[in-house]
Amino acid sequence: MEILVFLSGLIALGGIYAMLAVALNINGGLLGLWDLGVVGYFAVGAYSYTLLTIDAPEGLGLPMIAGVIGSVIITGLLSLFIGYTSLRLQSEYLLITTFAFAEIIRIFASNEEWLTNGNIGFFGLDKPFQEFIPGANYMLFFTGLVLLSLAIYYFFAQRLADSPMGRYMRAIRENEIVTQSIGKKIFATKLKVFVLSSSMIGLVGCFYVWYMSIIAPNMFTSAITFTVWTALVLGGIGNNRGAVIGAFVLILVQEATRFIPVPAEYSVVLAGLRQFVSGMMLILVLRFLPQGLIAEKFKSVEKLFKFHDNSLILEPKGVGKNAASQGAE
Amino acid sequence: MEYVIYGIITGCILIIASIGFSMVWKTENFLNIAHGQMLLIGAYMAYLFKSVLNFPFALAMILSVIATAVLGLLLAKVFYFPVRKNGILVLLFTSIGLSWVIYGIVQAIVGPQIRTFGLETSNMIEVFGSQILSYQELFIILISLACVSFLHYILTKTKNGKGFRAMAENRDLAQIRGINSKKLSNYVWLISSGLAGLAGILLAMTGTLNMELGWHQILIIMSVVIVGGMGNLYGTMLAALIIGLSMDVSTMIVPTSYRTAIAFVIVILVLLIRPQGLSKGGAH
Repeated sequence: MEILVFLSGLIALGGIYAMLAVALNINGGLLGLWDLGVVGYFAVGAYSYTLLTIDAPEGLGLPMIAGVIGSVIITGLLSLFIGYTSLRLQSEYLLITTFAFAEIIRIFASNEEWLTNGNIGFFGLDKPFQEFIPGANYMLFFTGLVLLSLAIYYFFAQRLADSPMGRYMRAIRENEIVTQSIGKKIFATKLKVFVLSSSMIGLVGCFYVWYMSIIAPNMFTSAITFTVWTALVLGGIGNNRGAVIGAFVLILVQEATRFIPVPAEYSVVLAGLRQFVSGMMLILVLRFLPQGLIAEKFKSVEKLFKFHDNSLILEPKGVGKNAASQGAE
Repeated sequence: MEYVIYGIITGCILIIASIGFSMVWKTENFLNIAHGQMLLIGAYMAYLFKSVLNFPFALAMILSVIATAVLGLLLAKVFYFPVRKNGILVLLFTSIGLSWVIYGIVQAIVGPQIRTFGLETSNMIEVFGSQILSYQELFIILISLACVSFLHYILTKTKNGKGFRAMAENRDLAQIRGINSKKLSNYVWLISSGLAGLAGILLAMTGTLNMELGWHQILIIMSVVIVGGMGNLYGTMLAALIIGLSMDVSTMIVPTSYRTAIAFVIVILVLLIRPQGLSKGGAH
């Protein structure tokens, strides 16, 4: 039973990261935005949920569902502001701006004690349906909940990727100027997708709060952003299946080493080893499988319209190529 | 007044830390996130020579700068050069992976405790009867001035420096004109990593040595380079001073913990008002 609870905890964490990776894939993978602000929206979602649901005087004491909806709305509004100010910037500039916003959010959370209770944060937070399911089984139930939401995220993202909007997003990623020249509104689309993806990340923040049952600023360091991006790169950018698999592989590797029984004096070595292995994995995948474990596949226009003989449509280009073409701009 | 001095010192260290980053960005066209971890390596290397092997501090400094420079070149040869053809996104993520690898190795060796070099506190220099800065701080300022003038000399007067500037503008064209871009990029990696190591040591001199040094600094370094205008060395120097000063002077008005946030606010403002940075540069 214990091992089952432990495993389900691991899967729940993997599922949370997989949801993050799927959400990030919408703007980072399909649209090609270099968004390093993941942890910022994640933190805003988690904090707004906590502050809305926790009892007075710290919070408003709203019911859980209101907290979830509220956190999505608040993250959406904030990302609208961030996106509006930064989305006109290109590649590296966007990367640093979003990164800067995420850091400002974290520094704000650890300093404004009247709002967030500073570095201590809040603990002993309620989990959904906690009263109906007794102690040990709760983790199993929660894992199921996470996997169910992951499935919803996955199918939503998949539908989006196959929709005209998805093709349009890829077109922007491949060549912004050409897409603009055929009369598409680049900035408005980017902003829409950015807000959508960030709100999805904000919602995952609620799951993270339930999983940890505490909230504190040091849970939201840039390591999370890098982990999610690493998961995406490992699995294959631009591809939802890859995002899910990458996240689970990465979390399994990182967390599995946590439970190797070693004497206490080696625990630091082990912690270092964990970082080392994640980094090596990323480097090796990039070197030998630059498209990730699963390369991006297109449901091409040919298939949709049954143009079997028409060879006007070019073969989709790989991720490595995309990067090169972005760099050339 | 003392905040201004602190700001200048922070700025001087930032100059040394950012120039290398900016040079790599300019020649290799990617953000080398692992640059922050080179600061960490330099600082711990100096700790190894100074406090473990008991070398004199000056010797320890020189040795660790050389060692970091060579290590930086080796890492670039092993990790970056083979994936160069796959584009800048791959290079960027390789550098993130490399940061983790370095961070993990250093953590496994040194552990989590916070250390210092254990330098004696030096005397204050008195000017017009008021103590303004210590010899140690003067030393940092002089070193960064020396680095800046040395680099300026190399870039404008020597053949390799001119070659570097040509390569930064247009790599292919420079190659056609007979510039050995392979050799030059080796020099760039040596100088960049060496400077990073030096910056790490100076940073650890003013504060403490801890594992997060690399991750904290890389964010500020990126801000400096962006504010300075992409890959523009002189803009970078100016930006380093501006960000250093505003971070430390701002502590008079806002709580100290917001120090880094100030740097990011500046970056966001600069990008919104002048997306090309303080000085025009680069092909963007």
